[in-house]
Amino acid sequence: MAEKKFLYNAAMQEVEQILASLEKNNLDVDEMSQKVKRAAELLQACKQKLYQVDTEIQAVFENVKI
Amino acid sequence: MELNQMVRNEIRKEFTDMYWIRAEVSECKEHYSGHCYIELIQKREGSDAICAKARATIWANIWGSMKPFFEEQTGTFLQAGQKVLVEVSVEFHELYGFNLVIRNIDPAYTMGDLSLRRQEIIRQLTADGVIDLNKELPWPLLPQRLAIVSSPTAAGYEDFMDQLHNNAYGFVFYTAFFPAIMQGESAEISIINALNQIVETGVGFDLVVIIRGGGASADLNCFDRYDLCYYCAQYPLPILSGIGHDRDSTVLDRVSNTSVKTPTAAAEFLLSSLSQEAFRLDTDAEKLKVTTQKILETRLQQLKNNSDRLRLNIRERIHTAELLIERREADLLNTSKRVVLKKSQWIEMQYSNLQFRASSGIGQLKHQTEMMEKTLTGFSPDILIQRGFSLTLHNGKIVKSIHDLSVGFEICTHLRDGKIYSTIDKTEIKNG
Repeated sequence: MAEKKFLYNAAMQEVEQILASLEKNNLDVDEMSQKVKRAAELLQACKQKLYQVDTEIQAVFENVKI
Repeated sequence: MELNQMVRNEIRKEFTDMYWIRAEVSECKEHYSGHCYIELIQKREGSDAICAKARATIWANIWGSMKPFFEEQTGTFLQAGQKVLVEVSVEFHELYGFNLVIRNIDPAYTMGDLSLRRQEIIRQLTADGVIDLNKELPWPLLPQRLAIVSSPTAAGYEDFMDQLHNNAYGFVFYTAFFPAIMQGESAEISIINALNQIVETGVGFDLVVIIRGGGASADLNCFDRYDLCYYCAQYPLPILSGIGHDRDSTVLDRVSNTSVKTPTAAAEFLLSSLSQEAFRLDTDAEKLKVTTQKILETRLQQLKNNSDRLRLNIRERIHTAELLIERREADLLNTSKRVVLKKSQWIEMQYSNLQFRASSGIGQLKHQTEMMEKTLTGFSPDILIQRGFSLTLHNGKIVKSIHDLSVGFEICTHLRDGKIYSTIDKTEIKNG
């Protein structure tokens, strides 16, 4: 799959979907571990994105030091 | 000759006193000998018609001190057109005829007359509607380009230039000199011509300075002339006059935009005008600096506050997002654990179900077995013995068939409560 642009909101939405279907318990067991893995990956990516944004913002503030 | 001598004697006899008389000067000539020859006239009231006329003489010994006194007091020369109050003695000379010898003069009378005339001119200029025109011109903010009307020989002009150009502030003035005669009959035309030239140059002068040096004895009459003052009042540039006099004021002083007493005072006035402006500029510059600094500081503070708020806001949002992620992580973990748990519980349940079923099957079997065991127990020899059955053994072996025995065999019969040892007498085989 081509590297798609990571979208934080879309990722969080997907996590919520996976959680919802986990809670409704309408997941195939075979599918489950795959989905949970996917959700965990997305969360990790979101976290990374967040840190990245934070760092970038810090840098911005460093540059415009008042 | 005799007649004239008689008249002379008669007059000398008759007019021994001195007389104060009022008259108008119609002619005034100073002789190189130092005597002053005057013609006095009287006009008919309300007209120009001369009704009396007399020659008068001021001898040099009197004129020598009277001239400066008069000029100092009145600010004008003794000249034609002036009204005078003089003390005279009447004389008659055989050769020169009737003559009034002036002994004394009252300058206050001339001054009063001059003042009346000045007032008349001022009234006329007011009626013409021009009296304040030059005064109403705005004083230039920086009067630096100056057109100077003066006499080149006047000491006042040099003083003025010196003071102006060598000022302590270092202000620069651009001066253009327009020479004019500053006293006497021709002064009026000469000054008007100079003022005309200033306009004709087309140079944008800030103002015109009319100065005139010299002592108080000089003639200021020319500055009371209607034509000159009418012209000056309507002059397009502000006029600063410093014509050097101690007496009240000339009409020129009245119509000029600003008037000071002396050329030196004029220079001082210009300098103070500039220094005031310079001071104002300095003050404004300082104010501007302070205000700008204050505004900048405020803006900087605002910017800083906004930046801090932004930073804080972002910090909060990131924190919230982090928390959300953490919660989602926990949710994911819990939910998947729960799902796994449910599944494994189900499996366990199935397992225990299975176990239960299995064990209950086994139980039944056990029960059956037990039942069977019980049933079986009913068949045990002990129980049978108890119930009254007995057991016969031969050589320790249970005798099951008659065929196992023969007469004479010793047998042991087991009862519930003992044994019987006996020897077989007889056997009988069962039919069937």
